[in-house]
Amino acid sequence: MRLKRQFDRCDDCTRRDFVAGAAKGLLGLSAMPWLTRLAAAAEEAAIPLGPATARNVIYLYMAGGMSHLDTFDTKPGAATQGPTEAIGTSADGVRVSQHFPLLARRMDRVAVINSMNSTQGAHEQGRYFMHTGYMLRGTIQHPSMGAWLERMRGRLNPTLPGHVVVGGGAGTASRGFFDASMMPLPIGDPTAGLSNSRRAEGVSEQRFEDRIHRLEKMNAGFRERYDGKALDDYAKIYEQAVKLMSSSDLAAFDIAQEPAAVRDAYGDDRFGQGCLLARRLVERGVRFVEVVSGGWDTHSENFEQMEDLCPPVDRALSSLLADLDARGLLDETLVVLTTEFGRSPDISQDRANGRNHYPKAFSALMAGGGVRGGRTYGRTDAEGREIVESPVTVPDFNATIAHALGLPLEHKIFSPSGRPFTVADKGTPVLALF
Amino acid sequence: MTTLLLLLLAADPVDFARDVAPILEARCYQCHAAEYKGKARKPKGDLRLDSLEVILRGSGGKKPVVVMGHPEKSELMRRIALPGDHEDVMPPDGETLPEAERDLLRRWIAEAAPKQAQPSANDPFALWRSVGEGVPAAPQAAIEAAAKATGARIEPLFDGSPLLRVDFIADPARGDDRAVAALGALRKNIAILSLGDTKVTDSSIAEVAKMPALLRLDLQRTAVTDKGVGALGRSGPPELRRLNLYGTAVTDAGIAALAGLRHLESLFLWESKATGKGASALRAALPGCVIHLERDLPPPEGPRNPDANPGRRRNK
Repeated sequence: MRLKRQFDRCDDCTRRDFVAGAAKGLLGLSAMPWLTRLAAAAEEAAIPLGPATARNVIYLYMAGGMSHLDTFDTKPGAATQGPTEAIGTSADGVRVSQHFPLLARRMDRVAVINSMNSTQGAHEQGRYFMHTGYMLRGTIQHPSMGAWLERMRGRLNPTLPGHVVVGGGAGTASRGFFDASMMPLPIGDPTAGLSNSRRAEGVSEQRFEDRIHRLEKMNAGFRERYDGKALDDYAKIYEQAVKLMSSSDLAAFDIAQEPAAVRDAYGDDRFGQGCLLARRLVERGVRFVEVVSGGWDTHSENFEQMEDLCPPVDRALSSLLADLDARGLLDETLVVLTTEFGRSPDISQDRANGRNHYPKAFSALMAGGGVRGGRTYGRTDAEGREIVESPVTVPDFNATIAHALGLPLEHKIFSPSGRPFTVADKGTPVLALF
Repeated sequence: MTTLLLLLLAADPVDFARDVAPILEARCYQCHAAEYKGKARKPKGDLRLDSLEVILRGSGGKKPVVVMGHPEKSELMRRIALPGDHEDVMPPDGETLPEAERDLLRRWIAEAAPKQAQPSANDPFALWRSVGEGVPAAPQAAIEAAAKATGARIEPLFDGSPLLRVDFIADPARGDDRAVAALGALRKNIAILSLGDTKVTDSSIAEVAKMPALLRLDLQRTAVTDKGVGALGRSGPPELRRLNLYGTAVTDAGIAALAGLRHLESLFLWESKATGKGASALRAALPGCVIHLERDLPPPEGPRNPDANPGRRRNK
């Protein structure tokens, strides 16, 4: 269909178009972008469908760099441990820090990876690397995992966005070089519902429809003259928004519909309510939801800050696991908790017992979605400095998520400039977790 | 001594994607990759170096160029170490690889042996394969017709599997007894059937019970009652592993019949009318089945420290 339209357009190529195209070419701009897309579309083979243990992902991101020693890789008795204590859990041999008493009861469902390592020690680069599996470069914007999932598998519920990020920011979920239609939906305040999703006051349904109709008419002329992929994409986004406004699925965004006791159980804070929203969205067919918890950059007063930072995550994650489990959703929903890097085993005295950036070794969690819980994978030495067993790189970690989702790791998708990319940049999935 | 050496190597292992691939990309892909600069091409000497898997395949799939763990036996190492004017030197054009890059490649090959894909203790898809064995694939036309008639999403469990996954998540309102009847044409192939939030009733169960490959059935928040669940237990799909009855009106009397589903591994009964008593009785009959009766949310929060405000102390 599209092919035909594009060829038709070639026929009535006007002199003005030709000049414009030639100028673009001479100026080094991409001449007739649809032409390269045409080539790409012809080249694009069917995306292989692998067996999947997980259908959805809830991706909890600890922005700033979560201390591994004070959370999931405790080293009781070591000089590097500081005042943080370790507690036993419902899983034999798995210990967590004192800040996770609720989660401790559910560690039989959680796998801990204690051998994460990154090559990036700065926030922006580390965050980008963790989300995309690729290193930050000036020449290209890589898609994050939610965008890869949407690109390769589409949406389960076409009315709702393919992926959503709650409390995100620069360097978190991104469509990268994929089409504009694969943009994540950003939510700032999870308790506010979906903003701008209701008709303005005093605008009747009829009037709203009239307005949309007029908008389409106004756009039609422009689209006739400048038809192109980007325009189609943005038009599609409008269409989707209008469809969502009148859909019963909109209620998925409204966490006020949850009983007060449930909202309290998740925790009366942005992260907790974000996790509750994530569950509601996954239930209605949004396959990838990221929820961001900020403030983990504990250069000073690390131990005091842990007392504030950990409890909301402990509460929200524990509730999320219980809630998903009761609904039969945990088996198919991979819950991931990760961060850009760990924090230095050495406690910096000159900054009131702080810990600094430490990409060499850190911790992450995976639960549900086919991952077998109650275990730790990988190990650091007695002081939490060096990985001594089964290192997991950032691409390996992303490849593990992709593996759970049945995404083909070898399948190349070409950027608009024709460069080939694969999900998780050739990482090796940690099959031992399944 | 050896232990010390191993520890030193473990401290900063060479990573293929991070360290090795960029060198190969810069110096080798031009001739030894399936495509270069977005254009497909035939790799020279039938040797590809553009992923770990194809490197291990070697030249023409026969002649290995890298022997993991043994740089000295690896043809790739021999070729890149030749003098610049040698006729076999790689890459043939431009400067020879600098010592630092050769060293990285050598270390990568020397270290690479232990870090390959770790085999999993259990294969989560063994069941999907064994249940699918011998099942004829449903004709594409039948799948498309059923999808059109029911509004359901229908897709194979994975490429090459005859088994199908069917769900109504996009439009649960279209899932009703008529839709389930329309799925009858795919009866032998349906392995995962999600009817959550749909309008199906007990009368659909007769059709569902006739699905020989059904592994997972989701009936959450439907109008299915003891009558349907009883029918499912008595004549139910022989392979059923997972049954979701959360938010239905089933009672202890209904779930008692599920003892007939010998392979059942998990049963979801939260917010149904079943009780601990019924669950215990069923557990005795099906010791391998995990029964989820409650939602085990954490207790409510104690009084909060008014100062507690994560992220309040912002650091650079």
